[in-house]
Amino acid sequence: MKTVIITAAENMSDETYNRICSGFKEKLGEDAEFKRITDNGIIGGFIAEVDGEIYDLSISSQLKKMQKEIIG
Amino acid sequence: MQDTEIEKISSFLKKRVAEFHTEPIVYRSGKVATVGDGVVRVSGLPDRLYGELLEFDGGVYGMALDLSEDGVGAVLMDNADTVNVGDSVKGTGVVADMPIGNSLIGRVLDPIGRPLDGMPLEVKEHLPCETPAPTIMQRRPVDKPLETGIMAIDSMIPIGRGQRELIIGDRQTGKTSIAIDTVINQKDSDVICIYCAIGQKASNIAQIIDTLKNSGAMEYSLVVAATASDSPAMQYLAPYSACAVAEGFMKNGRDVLVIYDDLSKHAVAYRTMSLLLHRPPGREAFPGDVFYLHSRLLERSACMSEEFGGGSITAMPIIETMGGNISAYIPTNVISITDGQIYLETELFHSGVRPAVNTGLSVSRVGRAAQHKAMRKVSGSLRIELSQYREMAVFTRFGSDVDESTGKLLSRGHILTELLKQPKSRPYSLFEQTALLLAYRNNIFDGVEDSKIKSFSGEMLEYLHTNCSMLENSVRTSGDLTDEDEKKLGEALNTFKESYLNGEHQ
Repeated sequence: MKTVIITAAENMSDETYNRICSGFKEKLGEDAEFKRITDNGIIGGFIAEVDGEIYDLSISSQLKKMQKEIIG
Repeated sequence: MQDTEIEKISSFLKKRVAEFHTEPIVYRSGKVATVGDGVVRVSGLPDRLYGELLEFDGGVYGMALDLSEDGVGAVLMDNADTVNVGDSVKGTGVVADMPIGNSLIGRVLDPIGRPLDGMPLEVKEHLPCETPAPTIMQRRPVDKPLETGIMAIDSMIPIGRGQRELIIGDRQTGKTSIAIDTVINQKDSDVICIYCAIGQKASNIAQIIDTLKNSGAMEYSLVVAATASDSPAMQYLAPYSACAVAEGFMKNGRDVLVIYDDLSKHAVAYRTMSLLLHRPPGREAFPGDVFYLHSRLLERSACMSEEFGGGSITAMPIIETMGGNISAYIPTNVISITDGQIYLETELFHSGVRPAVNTGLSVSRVGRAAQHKAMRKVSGSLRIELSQYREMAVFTRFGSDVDESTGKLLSRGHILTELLKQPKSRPYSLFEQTALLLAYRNNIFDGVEDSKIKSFSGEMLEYLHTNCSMLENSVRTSGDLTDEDEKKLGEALNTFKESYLNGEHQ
């Protein structure tokens, strides 16, 4: 069984959270376990961690990436 | 006018923002399990490369050196203060690399390519710090000399481009001076010089950079520095980084001289790292691969064949011995790896023979083939004469009565020893060295007082510069001393001596 840790800001609705969970279930199989962490530092979006692999879709990281690409 | 500028900028930015795609940033991450003495154990983080750079929270970098199933052992490149247990660790997917290119000339860098001189660095290309050495088929024999400008070395222990010549000796015997003088002498030789400081005092490095700047040598040199206060990982990486920069130049067909100052401290830094990583200690507590540590570095110096660019890397590693003991572990290792060594002695240094080269113990295994013809012509028997003199001088130190031939040997040896003394930062050109050695061979110095040999030779060179510029040009351009030229030079020397003895120059 795999554990998925999802970090999200407070503003994420339960509906969105459930959609993310079902997306991961599709990928990993039905027996995936979910854990939700709230961190307002990421502004929006979410960070999912599975097996040491990190899928970062948070607004804060995207902004950082954007800054790097545009300013150089 | 201004409005349109602002509009342009804002429309450019809008375009860039619109072009930006949001896609998930996917990476592997681990957690710091233990931290101590600059060594970190990370749990998780599978599929890492050996030597990969890891990024810790707070922008600190480390290098993965111990890969196992349950985690990674890494050494920290920067200060360990900001890394805590439980921090997340990100694999960057790249091994340590160095910027390369002409824009590095005149700069001071640290071993992971960050500028240390406070100015921005613009580079496009990078090369990994650890690369395999050129293969056998890519090389060609060393055939071009690298002039050090130091007569004792150029005449008896000649160095070729692509050679690895070790400078070995106790502390305070002038090892670094020889290396720096060699750099200064490359002014007109189209050789790029890289000075790599490993575990040196920062004040010493600053002084060396100052010397290079003042003599105009920074226009074709660069410095890669890891000071004594940098982490062992940085010191370990420094020579490989310097070599990567050199390879960047060599790829473009340039000749490069790299000075590793010094490899004893490099071995010590590696020992520190290895012991902290719990690798089994061997002789003198050095790990088992300490020979490979230096052999893989020095194998990367090469003289490339024309199909592969034809460039070269000449290495001048420096080793500091303790109490003149060249049979300690690290010195014997590096002696056996290199193509010869310049052995400096405390005793000679204190008796005023500077550079304090012990010609008996110094050798150059490939340089003879690369020596200029002119130099080969006049330096043939110097080594034998000098070693005979040294041997005889010991026997006759207490006695005064010697037979005629021994007396001659002694006086000639004495003159040669005086001639080979050379002040710091005063390189001799090929022509000057040829003239001095020819004068010695033709017994021009006979009858000149011991104390006056220095001033005599100085005036002689001045006289030759003004009166024999044709000859000087021909020696410089061809590197050869034809029989005709030799005769002419011999005559000029005789003329000078006559006028000197007649008091015109005194």
